[in-house]
Amino acid sequence: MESIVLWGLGFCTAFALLLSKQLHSGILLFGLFGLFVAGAYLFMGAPDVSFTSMALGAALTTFVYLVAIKKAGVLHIYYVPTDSMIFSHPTIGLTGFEYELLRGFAAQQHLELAFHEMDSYQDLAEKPPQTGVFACGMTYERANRSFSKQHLLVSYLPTRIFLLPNGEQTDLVRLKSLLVRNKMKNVEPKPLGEDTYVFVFEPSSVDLGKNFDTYIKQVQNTDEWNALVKRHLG
Amino acid sequence: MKRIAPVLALVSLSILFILIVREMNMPESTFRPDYVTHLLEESGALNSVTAIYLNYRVYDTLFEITVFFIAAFGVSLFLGNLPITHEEVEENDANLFLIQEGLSFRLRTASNIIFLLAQLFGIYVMITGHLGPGGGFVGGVISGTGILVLVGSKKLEEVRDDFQKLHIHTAERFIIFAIPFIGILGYLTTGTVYGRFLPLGEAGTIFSGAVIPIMNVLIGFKVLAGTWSILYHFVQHRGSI
Repeated sequence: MESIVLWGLGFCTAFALLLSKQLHSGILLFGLFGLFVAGAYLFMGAPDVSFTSMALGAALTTFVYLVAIKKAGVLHIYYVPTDSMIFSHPTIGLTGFEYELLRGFAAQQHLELAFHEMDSYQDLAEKPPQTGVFACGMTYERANRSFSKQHLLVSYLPTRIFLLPNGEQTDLVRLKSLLVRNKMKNVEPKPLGEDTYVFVFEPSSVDLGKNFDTYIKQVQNTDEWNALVKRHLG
Repeated sequence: MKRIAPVLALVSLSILFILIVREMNMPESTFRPDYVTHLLEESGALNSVTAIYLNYRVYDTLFEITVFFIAAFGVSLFLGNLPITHEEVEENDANLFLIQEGLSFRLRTASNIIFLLAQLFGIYVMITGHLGPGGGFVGGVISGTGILVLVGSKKLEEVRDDFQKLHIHTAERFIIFAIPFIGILGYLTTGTVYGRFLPLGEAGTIFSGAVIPIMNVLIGFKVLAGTWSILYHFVQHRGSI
């Protein structure tokens, strides 16, 4: 009877393991599964097998996996330096709103980040790299125009579009950086409409992009999020 | 010293293999379907599972040990040539288990205690394998995992250096020699491979079951060294495949 209950619990754990999205919880569930199976063997009158199952299935494998996920993978990020979003600060190095978002996401998914600087937006749009995420404070409109349908666009922050006197369109962040650098004086940009900032996920990283979407929905409008927005975007 | 052990191991394994083949060709085979009923008086071990795998089915165990030895050897041979993953030294040096800040002190303290408990329990399971559930294989795995937990509080290289001071790997080489040697000794004294050349003792005490406790401890240390060797190489070269 006890063994049936334990097998049932083991089955439930295995099912939860299939559905788990976090590596850490997956490993802990795997250890729990080993524990239930060991308990089931114990009640079936095989304490020797139970001991072995406990030592190998529950303890050793869990530890090996915990060590292994220290380096689960590398997320390549191709960025075009954009003020406030992702840029190289002379003293603290790479920083910005998008940078911090990606940091948080990578910490949650146990990924390491590798940053690759691109010279211009044209480079990124014409010859998109094969793997990873592209970030440069892109707006949805612009990204939708430049990248193919297979790319996944994850929007994370609303913005406004302005029309500059010289006929160019720009968004809030770029407008702010123009104003700060005093390149525009005494001109009133005309508001054109609303848009959102997006991250572009390359076709083979679409699953990662979906996870990122969930992550954004989790952190959006929390205190930390508001503090981040305040610090980087004002 | 290092070269003697493999030669001895090879010689003793060859002699044992010849003896086994000779025994198998004997017309009167050792197959006895009724051995479960005479288990206690013949082997002296309370745990019938241990009695079977270290007495009647000792060849199976012997080849299991050989398989384990070859697996550990293969891991160290194959991974030894790969580049080593260097730890980026961050806020603390014990960042093997993705330690968050503030957790390190607790982990440092706990891993030392868990290490000691695991070693004690592993050795207990090894030497009482003939009395209750357990045995050399399980005890070795428990001890080996316990050493890996220690890596939570120390650097991997420090643990390895401490481990090398104990000369476990030298001991491991002699165990490879000792396990077949017991079989040969049994043949020389009683005429059958792994014959009972020690007294049975009183069933239920530590010193009972003839060679079974000795075999359990030897297998335990063999598995301990093998598990540690495999884990060490996996940790050292993680992410490089």
